[in-house]
Amino acid sequence: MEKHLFLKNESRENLYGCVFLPELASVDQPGIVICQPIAEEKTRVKRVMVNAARYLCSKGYPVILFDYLGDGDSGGRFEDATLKSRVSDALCAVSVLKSEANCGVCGFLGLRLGATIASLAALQYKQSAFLILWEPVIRGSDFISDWLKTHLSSQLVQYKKIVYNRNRLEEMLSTGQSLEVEGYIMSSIFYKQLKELNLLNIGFDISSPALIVEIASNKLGIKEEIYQFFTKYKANSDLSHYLLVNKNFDWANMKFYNPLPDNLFKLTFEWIRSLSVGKNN
Amino acid sequence: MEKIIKFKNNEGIDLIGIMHYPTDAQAYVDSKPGIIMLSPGLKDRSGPHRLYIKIARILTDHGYTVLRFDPSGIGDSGGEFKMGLSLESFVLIEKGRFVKDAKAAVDFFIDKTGIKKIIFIGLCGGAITAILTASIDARIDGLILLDIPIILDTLLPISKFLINKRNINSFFNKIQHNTNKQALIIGFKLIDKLTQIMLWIENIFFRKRILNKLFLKAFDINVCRNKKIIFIESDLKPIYEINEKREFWHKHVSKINNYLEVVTVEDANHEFASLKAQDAVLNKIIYWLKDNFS
Repeated sequence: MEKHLFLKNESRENLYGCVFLPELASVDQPGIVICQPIAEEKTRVKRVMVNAARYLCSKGYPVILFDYLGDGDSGGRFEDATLKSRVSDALCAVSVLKSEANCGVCGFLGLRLGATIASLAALQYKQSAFLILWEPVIRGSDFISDWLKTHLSSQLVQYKKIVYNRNRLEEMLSTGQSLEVEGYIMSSIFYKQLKELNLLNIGFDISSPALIVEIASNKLGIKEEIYQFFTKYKANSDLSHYLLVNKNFDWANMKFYNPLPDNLFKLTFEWIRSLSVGKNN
Repeated sequence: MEKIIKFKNNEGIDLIGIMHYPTDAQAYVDSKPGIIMLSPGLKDRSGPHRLYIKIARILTDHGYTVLRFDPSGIGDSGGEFKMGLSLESFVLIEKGRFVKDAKAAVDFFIDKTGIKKIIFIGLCGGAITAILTASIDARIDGLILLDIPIILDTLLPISKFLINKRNINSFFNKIQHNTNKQALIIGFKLIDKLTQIMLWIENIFFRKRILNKLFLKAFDINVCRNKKIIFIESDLKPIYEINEKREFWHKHVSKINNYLEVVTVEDANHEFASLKAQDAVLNKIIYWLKDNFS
């Protein structure tokens, strides 16, 4: 069953969400909170995330999928959302899933910046059953770099030249100005939080196991920073696992449409099942 | 007020959407038309760059009741769209794949609100769905069409193969154990370059770009029935698309009258991504609605 609802976040804004309740509900199964990417990346992979929720629900897990403040169908403005507010939104989703599905523990699953948010939320939640990170953004500066690239491309299309170069754009952001990138406004606060973010420098003293999935166009080699991040989890839990899967859906463009990357879903489910986590364990 | 809604299309598939109600919805039932926004292509009811949400919220502030929903296989709705090149999915949409869902939305909207006058707003694939549905549904009074595609796009088989990276991936994955990594990386880069060159050559020399006859027929029917239509065009798009539209309007200039308007938003790309373009679109929509439906 799918229950669509508005949940209230910390600042009492409506967040759009959907709770996926398995037909044969079992209190032993952990709930799964899905953290989506943000902005246009989220729009491009929305159906992949919905299908991931449906797939995991069909395997018996209660799932919640939600939109952050100022994103998707949620209330508020995109520019008012920060890294912290998004982590807080994810924690609200945990509470809602627990009460709707009556599950004792929850794990997180995220894609791209959603994976980063999931890992930060798990740090605060502490009792996270597991963490599944699909292609996490390890360094916030890489994410900023992608946004700036988009801004530069827009300038080229509009003005046929670069009016504000990368340094100038970063200077604007670091001095309190906001920056519009194709309809989304990146606030100076969000920029600064991202700029400081490096998951490799954060102490992850949690024992919950993590599945870290690198989604690559080819299987020629692993990304150093994602693997380094994985080693932090591996040190805490032997159940942590690193996977390299073929990139057969894309968050950067929509030339090829694949709403059902079933291999990714299947591998994810098999890993969760292998943990046998639950209320009674 | 925003309310999550669910209704079925004629195949029994659940479609999910959001109804936006103005503060005193009942007061507007007889005076304002209802607005239904039709999702663009493969993106959901938020629209690219949240354009649909921004339009819906502003129109609600102006007293309109607005419905945004996901057609089958998109966003939160039931059904599924097949995996493949997006271009092939777009062609299906341009041939009317979502018309049944748009009709179901009209049934639901009228039933829920009692509003009899309906305006469709659609961007790209949503615009095509709007014009096709309006040509067979007398309940639609007006159309706001954002950058409607009038051409049916097809690719040569070789380009389809090259764009479909899955083919290339599976090929390289099969041979990767038998060869060295450096050679594979060079192979990937070569394929990427080849794809770009192929698409470039194809765009200029071979691309089969034919006028969508279904669009033309629907256009004529809606114009004959004096439905009020505004075409809102972007100006930052490939030159061949601009020329195709120009040629179309040159042929059909006699049809532009009190009921039909064509406007262009400056510095706007196909998705009206920038805030400046979005504001311009919103202004045009608000004034057009005021001029034609007050």
